[in-house]
Amino acid sequence: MMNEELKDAFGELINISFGSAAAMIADLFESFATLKVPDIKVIAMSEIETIVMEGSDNQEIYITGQQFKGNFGGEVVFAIDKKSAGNMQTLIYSAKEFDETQAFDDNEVEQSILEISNIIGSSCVGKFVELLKEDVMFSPPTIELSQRLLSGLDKTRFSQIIVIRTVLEFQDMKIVGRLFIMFNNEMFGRLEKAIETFIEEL
Amino acid sequence: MQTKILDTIENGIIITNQNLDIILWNRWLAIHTGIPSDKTPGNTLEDLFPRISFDLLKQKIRIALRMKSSTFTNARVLKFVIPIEQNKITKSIFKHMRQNVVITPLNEKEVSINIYDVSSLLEAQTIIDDQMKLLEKQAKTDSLTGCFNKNMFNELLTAEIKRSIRHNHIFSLIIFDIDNFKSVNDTYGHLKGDSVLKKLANLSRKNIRKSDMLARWGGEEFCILLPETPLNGAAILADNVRQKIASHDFGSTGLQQCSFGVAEYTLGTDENIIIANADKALYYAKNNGKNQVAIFKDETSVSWQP
Repeated sequence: MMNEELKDAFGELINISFGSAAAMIADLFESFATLKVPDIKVIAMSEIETIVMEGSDNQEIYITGQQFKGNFGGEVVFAIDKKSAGNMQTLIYSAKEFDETQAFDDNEVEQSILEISNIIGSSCVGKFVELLKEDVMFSPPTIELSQRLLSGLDKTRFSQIIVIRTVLEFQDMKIVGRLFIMFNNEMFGRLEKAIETFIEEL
Repeated sequence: MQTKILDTIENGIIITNQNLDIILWNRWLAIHTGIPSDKTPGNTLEDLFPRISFDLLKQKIRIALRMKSSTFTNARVLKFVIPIEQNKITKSIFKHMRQNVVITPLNEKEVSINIYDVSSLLEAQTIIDDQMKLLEKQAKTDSLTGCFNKNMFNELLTAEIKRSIRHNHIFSLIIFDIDNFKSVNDTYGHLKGDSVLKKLANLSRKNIRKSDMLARWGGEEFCILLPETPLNGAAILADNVRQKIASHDFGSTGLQQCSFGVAEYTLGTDENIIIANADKALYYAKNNGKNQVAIFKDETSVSWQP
């Protein structure tokens, strides 16, 4: 498991990457937003389904999944409960006039969740990749309002998961989500080493 | 040379900027939209498709350029970005091609929009999803009456007990069955018997609340799960259903009557206890003259009087 110093450095790194992510999310909702990272932990792959559903009160939750590929590879899962999705809907409809001619005429909430997940996931993984001096490609994300996406995960591919609780704060409401970045042991080890170097260079 | 390579690719590629000026429009797009590549320079996407709003595409391009990383649209959430009517020969279930789209920054101002046709994939997925929904429905419902079946009811009851324990909420259970139903089957045959069961289920469904759950327990026996409802409230509802059934015209099979047993969940007990208690009350109602409601209270069954 990660020691406290390493965990702090992870947090610092993620906070840096989330600075620009917040600005882009604010742009998405045409509203000022801050993105906070109150909690980071590392869990084993076997715990993922329990941790994702934690606090959901057995209600359905939106889960997105997105792979990143290259020498440094893994998968990002973002989970958001229905209450936060409802808050998101309020934000969307207060920001936009409904327009029948939109080519994007489908579920705007799901679209926004995909976008937030892409922005947060790419920012975070992008920062890791920058440290490792690697390059990755992201695959298109998918979304489900159920656990089907989790049961479809190949759990043998990954061993460690970084769990980041994210709180997006708008003027008068919060969107709480959790980001799960999954790696195998080798990738996680490389990341730990890169962060140790990052700490030394501070 | 590069443009020629892009023309051989089996997906749509547009190179554009934040104003949606078209810098490149590959052959795949020309074929699928009917807009030739040499007609696109100097035009924007809005010029080509004036009835479509591209505000969200612009937003995605802006985010991709700022993030220096790809943004995406997923056809399961957003049907398409470029409206391409499906070829009539393909007989797709979708009017427009379903598209997964990847928007990738090429430099500080320009992006490539890669469009993938995922219509066949989504069609197959839609058929599978429909079949799954049908199977799920069949697994949960009684095919004759359309009520929940016994297995589903057991699941609902278990979930309600968990909810009750967690939130300290009460709930009640009604079990009822048709008095002398055997004589309906014996006199009029099983088809008429089935018709009575269907009508009775519909009648019961109309006289319970949206939050109540009606199931066919088996044969001519039904049960109703009533969340957040105390014993007395459940007995009132049971008696209302009883009266509605007793006064209903079932056609050639004549009038039908039912007996009802009602029990309230006691914290700390399990599914078997509440079922057994409601069953004891039903047994009491049957032995006490039928066409009535009995409740299980203080470890004993008694007739319920409004």
